[in-house]
Amino acid sequence: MSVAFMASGTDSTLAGVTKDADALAGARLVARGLSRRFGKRLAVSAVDLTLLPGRVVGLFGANGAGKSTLLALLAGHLQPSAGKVEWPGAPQGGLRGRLGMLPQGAPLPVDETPRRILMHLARLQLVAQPAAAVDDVLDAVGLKRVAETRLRNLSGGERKLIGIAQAFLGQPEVVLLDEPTSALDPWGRQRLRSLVRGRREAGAAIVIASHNLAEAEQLCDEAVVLEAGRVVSAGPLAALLGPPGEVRFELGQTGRLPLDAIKAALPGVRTAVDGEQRTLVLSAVEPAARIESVVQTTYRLLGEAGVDVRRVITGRTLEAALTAPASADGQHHDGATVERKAADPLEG
Amino acid sequence: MRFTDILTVARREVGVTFRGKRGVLLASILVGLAAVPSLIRLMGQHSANATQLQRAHVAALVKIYDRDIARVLVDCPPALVVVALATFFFQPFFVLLAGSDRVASEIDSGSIRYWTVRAPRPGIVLGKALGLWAVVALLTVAVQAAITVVAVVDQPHDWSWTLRWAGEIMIYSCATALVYASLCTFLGVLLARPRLVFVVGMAVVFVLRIARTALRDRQVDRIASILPGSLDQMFLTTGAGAKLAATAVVAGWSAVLLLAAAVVFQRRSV
Repeated sequence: MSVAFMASGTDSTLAGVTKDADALAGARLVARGLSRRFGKRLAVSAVDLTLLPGRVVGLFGANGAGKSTLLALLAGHLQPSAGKVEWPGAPQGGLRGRLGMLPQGAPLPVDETPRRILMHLARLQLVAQPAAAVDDVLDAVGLKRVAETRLRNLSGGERKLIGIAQAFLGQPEVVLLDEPTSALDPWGRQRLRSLVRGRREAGAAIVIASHNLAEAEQLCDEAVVLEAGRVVSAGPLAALLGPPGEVRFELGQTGRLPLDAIKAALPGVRTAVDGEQRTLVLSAVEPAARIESVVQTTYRLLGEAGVDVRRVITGRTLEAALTAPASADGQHHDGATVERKAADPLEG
Repeated sequence: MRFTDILTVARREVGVTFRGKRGVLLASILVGLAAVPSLIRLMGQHSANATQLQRAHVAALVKIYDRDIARVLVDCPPALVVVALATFFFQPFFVLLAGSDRVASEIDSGSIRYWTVRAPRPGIVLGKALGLWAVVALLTVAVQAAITVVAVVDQPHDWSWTLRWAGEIMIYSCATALVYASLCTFLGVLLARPRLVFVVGMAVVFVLRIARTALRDRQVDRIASILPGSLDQMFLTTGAGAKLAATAVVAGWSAVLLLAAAVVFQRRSV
């Protein structure tokens, strides 16, 4: 039941993929063969998507990979060139109040106050008690104190929080957030995390497209990676990150690195040092339980060599996983399978 | 789509206009325009050549419309004639000024996305059109009411006659405003660029005026009468038939333009 996403045309190649009928029966949203073309450019290509309740899906990819376009297709802002989006269980045309969306780069009217614009949106959404719902979301983003201040007089971060607040207004079943953390300070990010977790616990399906990978790591259960509009990897975030077989030492003042001593003390472990000798990476640390002793041994050897260790990071970061180059056989070096699809699904 | 969607959107449109700088600007323009007929009336009253002015007034009416309508308007309080002519002439531009960026700028900037995830698109577009119409109608009626007060004060013994004319002109103005509000909304949805909407809208209004004149000169009155630019003429013509036909033209053009706007908006990407 934990699966939120599947890539088109695959049966079982991607981690966490399912076509389990029971799982799909409870889906909040199902997209089939979704494609969108802008002129000659295929921005989104044959994406199949199933959003399940209580799951947070991270949508990742480089600039222009198709994240925002995919979200716009799901929200109905863009008409698909091919494929369709279905809302299981919703009456025909009865999507009102089921979807909350934070679009990227779309300004809220700056002459309005947060309370006024949220009240208007709540009425349009037919929220049962609009005033209470508006108070709830303003409270959740910590902006009740500026509820009567025009948006033009708020900071960029505060406007962003109002945008986030409207996405959660009326407790929608599906929430699509496009770059929600940009312009947010740490307190704002904390409020976002709290909102996302609250809705997830209430059974909503949430999709977050973000370049803030550290934030996404904390929020997401599933990860979907887009490349040139195609899904190249999808499944549980833990599967994308892979086993914590990597330890990274960030070094301060470096003396001579005792690489030979480390290699001798840790047979089977690979070592790599960056050009400036500021980072030492130990990889292929297996089994994972061995990590603690590897860290202790390396730390001791570095100390004996007079090397100052500033930070030790165990496991791969999402950034490392996503930016890892894929080899010609379609494998990321962590082993996550990359599906290579037909070039253009719209061309038969 | 529910009727409440339309009302909710329209109510906000009216509120935003009268809360913002735009409302103040539009009201200022209209008050300025309202001052003109009053000044003309005062000048006429105190001029030694009042009779000459009256003749010029009639000649102008004959030139603008025709002899029959001029005969009708001569019966109307002069201040209200001027305000009626000004309203019918400037209203399309005023609607474009007030509404060219209503839908277009929201599509252009992407703000419309906050609305479209919440309510059916036809409801949004109809609400925008209704809101624009309400703004224009409210401002027009307010200015006409102010001038009516001046006219009543000027000729208190004829107050019922003045009020009857004022009421008629207000109704005709609001009816023609509906057509132009629908046109402006349709162009907004279609073009999605505020400046482009304004320029194309101006061009359409000028073309309609030229077409009306050309068709009238060629005595093709039936075709001319179905153009929005001829609505004032139809409303001012005596007889229930002409007024009914004018009402049908207003309803027809508004329905066609709003339906087209709803269909285009339903299909377009935002």
